[in-house]
Amino acid sequence: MEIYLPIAGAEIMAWKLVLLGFTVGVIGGFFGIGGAFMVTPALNVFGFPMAYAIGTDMAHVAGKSIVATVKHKKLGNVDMKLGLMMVIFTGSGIELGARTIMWLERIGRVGPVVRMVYIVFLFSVGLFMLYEYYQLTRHSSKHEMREPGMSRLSRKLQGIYLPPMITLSTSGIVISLWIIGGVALFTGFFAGFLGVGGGFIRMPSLVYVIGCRTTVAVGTDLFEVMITGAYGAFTYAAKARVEIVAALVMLSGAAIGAQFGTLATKYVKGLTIRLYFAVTMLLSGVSVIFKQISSHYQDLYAPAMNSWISSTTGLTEKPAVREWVWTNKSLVKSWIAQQSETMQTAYTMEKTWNDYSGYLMLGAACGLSAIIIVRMAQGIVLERRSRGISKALAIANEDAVTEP
Amino acid sequence: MKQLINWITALNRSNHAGFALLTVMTMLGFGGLIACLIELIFAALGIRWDRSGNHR
Repeated sequence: MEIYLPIAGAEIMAWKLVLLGFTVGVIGGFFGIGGAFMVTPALNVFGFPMAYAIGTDMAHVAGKSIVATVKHKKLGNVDMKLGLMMVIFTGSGIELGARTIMWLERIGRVGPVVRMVYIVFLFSVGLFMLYEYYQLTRHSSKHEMREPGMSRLSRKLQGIYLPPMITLSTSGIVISLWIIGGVALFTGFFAGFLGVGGGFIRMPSLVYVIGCRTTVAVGTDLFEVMITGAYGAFTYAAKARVEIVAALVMLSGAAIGAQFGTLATKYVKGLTIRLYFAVTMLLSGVSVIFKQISSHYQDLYAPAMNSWISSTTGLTEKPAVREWVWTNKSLVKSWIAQQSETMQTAYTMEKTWNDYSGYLMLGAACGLSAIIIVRMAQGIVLERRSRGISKALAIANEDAVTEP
Repeated sequence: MKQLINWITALNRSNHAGFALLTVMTMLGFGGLIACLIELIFAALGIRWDRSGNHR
């Protein structure tokens, strides 16, 4: 069934939006992230206008996060005190990050720098978590996996006495407010700098820097994502960049997916959650590399195209030029067809590598959500079996006691 | 339904702040409603959620 997106003026198959919402809902509920780094390239591959992809994703994340946060709260995974304190500092960090981006834009270095920082961050976090998993499991069997324990860094930071000291009963730690603030400011800065929600930066920070249990990091991060998602949805909607119909359709899938993802955290060990998170980071890093390759091809024809647009329409500002390109695709294609073969190839290759990036994230979202659902189902079956066995043992004991 | 969608599209063009407020309220509202519905369904089916284990 095709649905018409009235604000973007495009059409898209409803099942694609529901499927994407569902898979990212599973992943979001499992890792405590919004999933923008998976959703926006995937939406682009589905033919969704990129200009609306980020805003629409933010809007659906705001709704989905409520569903997942409520579930995580029931499981005892949300440290609201920590989450609320972090939100205040995160906001300031995002503002700083956004202003740094504006400065880089003024000196014309924003694209390559942001992508490089993104790649370095994703691969560093992914490889570190992979290394941690390897270190803790190499001498143990599958059923005797060593518990990771609190990281050395978080133990040191918790030991620093810098009043006011905050007692976080849900996380089970006592830590200085300034450390919480510093971590939140740092993660907020990167979120603002990379133009993302920041869940995938905050979750590992909560685990490795503040010292939360993995499941509490997931739940608390989702609580923050709910607040920052709502703020992001507001700012993008104020710029008329949210396709509300698409966001609602995605939310319907995401709400169901989030149930599975959240429940799976009850059955999957923290170390395994971190392993899956590491794999997600590495795949995202590869996706950003594909986007970087795509942008190199764009650089081959973009200067000539921008001069043509400027001479035809008088537009020179990048956002206005991007808007014009998106609304006049057929004109741009006609212009490209009149250019040299090199430029035409560059235009095609740019789209191809962009599609690779999107398909990789879509494949990763589907594969990962399938694995999470299977692990959840295995956990439920095992739990029911052990409940059945315990019940049988209890009955047998009762009989033994009552027999003369 | 068509009238509602036309109204939303017109609001998006004429009043960005109003559209932004509508978007946030709609998404949070629907999210909250779905969360409540799911809790009711689970309660009706007798499915209980135990707390997560204390693992890291």
